[in-house]
Amino acid sequence: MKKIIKLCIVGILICLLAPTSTNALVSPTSEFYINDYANILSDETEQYILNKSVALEKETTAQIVVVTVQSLEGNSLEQYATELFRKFGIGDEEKNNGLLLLLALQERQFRVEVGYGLEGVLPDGLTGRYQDEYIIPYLKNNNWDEGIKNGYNAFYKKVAESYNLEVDDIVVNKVTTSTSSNVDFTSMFILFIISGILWGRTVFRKDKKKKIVLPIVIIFIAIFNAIPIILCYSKGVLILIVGLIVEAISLLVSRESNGNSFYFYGGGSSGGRFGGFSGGGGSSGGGGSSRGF
Amino acid sequence: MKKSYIILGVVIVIILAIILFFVGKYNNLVTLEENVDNKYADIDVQLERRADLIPNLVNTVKGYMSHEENIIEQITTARENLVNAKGIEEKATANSELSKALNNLMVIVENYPDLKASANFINLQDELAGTENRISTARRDYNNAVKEYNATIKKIPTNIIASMSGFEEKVYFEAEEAKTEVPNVNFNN
Repeated sequence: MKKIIKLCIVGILICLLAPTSTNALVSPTSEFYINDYANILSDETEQYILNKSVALEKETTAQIVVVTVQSLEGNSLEQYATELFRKFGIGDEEKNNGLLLLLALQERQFRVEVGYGLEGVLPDGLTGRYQDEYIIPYLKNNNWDEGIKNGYNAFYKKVAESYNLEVDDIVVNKVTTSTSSNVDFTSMFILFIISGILWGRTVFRKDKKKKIVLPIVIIFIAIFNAIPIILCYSKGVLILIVGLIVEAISLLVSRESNGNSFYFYGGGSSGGRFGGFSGGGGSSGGGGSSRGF
Repeated sequence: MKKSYIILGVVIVIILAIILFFVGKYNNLVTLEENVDNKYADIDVQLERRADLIPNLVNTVKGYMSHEENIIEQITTARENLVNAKGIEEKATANSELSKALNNLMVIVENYPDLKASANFINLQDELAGTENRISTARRDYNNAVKEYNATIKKIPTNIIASMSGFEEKVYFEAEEAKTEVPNVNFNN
């Protein structure tokens, strides 16, 4: 008899719970900002996003969360995203300044879900355009890491700017079809030119401090110069040679206009509190946009 | 003497408890009804927003397909009906009509690759899709609120308070099946 009653109660509970919520919703991980359930992102990307999001939350209370799932298990992308957003409670409870980037691997769909409070900064049309320009081209080639990171950066920049944060250090690659490789070359040559100028300004320095400063500066420049060389080498030796010639020219040119001092900006390191983060209780009304890839 | 005081005290306490119980139930009903009204207002805002987007869409589309007057007429009428609709049921119907008209438009747009690829149109389509999704979210929230409210006013003993103070059953915002499918922009070609 007791067993029957127990079964009845369990049955009733299941009946009550089943239709009210989407069963397949994933739960936030202890890292909260990055939930790679589809297991497609590298550790570096995850760490990068985590650090950025933690810092952003500290400064502005805004939260940007990335979720990848293997499958939506039959749910519509939009409903899944909205319910996930609310379950996680992304963004501050009062300001609702949350943003969710959701990737469904099996369905090959991507959605940006915007909290009420960010709808002014990120209207639906803009979120769609950002996806087209910064995310979807990468995802089409299964380039998950780059697509997510680049898209994350684009949205991060937009959100951070709206809170008047400095975001100059964030590089976002806009993918305009077929010209993307040209953009790469230009930026490489710019790196060579900058390297050359740095060399020139150091080697041809005339003030007394040169002897002390020189070794340190040279190490910095060597590291700086290594970046374009490695980048070019992977694209072909010819480009490397041309790049080095460009660097030599800019070195000689900068000799004429040598200055007195320059500064290096070190990349700030972020410690990050570990032990789990959580949502601020923000909500979304279903704003945002979706794409297939 | 003492005994009657005790009885009187007990009776007063019981009466107070009953009054407080009913006041609590009543207040709860007020909160639930307020919640329903709130969610309804959310739907309204999104419906209005949808209606506001249509003229812009029509203007963009007109530039590319001047001889498809039929569909443009259909959309404009549907929009007008939505703007003039009163009450939940009327609004739900008008909204479904508009969705149907927009779906028809999207089918025709397939024949106009220039329009389909134009930044302005993509932007508008995203805004519309976003608004439609907001409407379905608001609709779900509203229906959940109505469900809770309706269940409460039918339950004993709240039904007594409800019928005494004129709390009436609320209507669900029904969506036709086509409505729940938010059109996706397809970029595969």
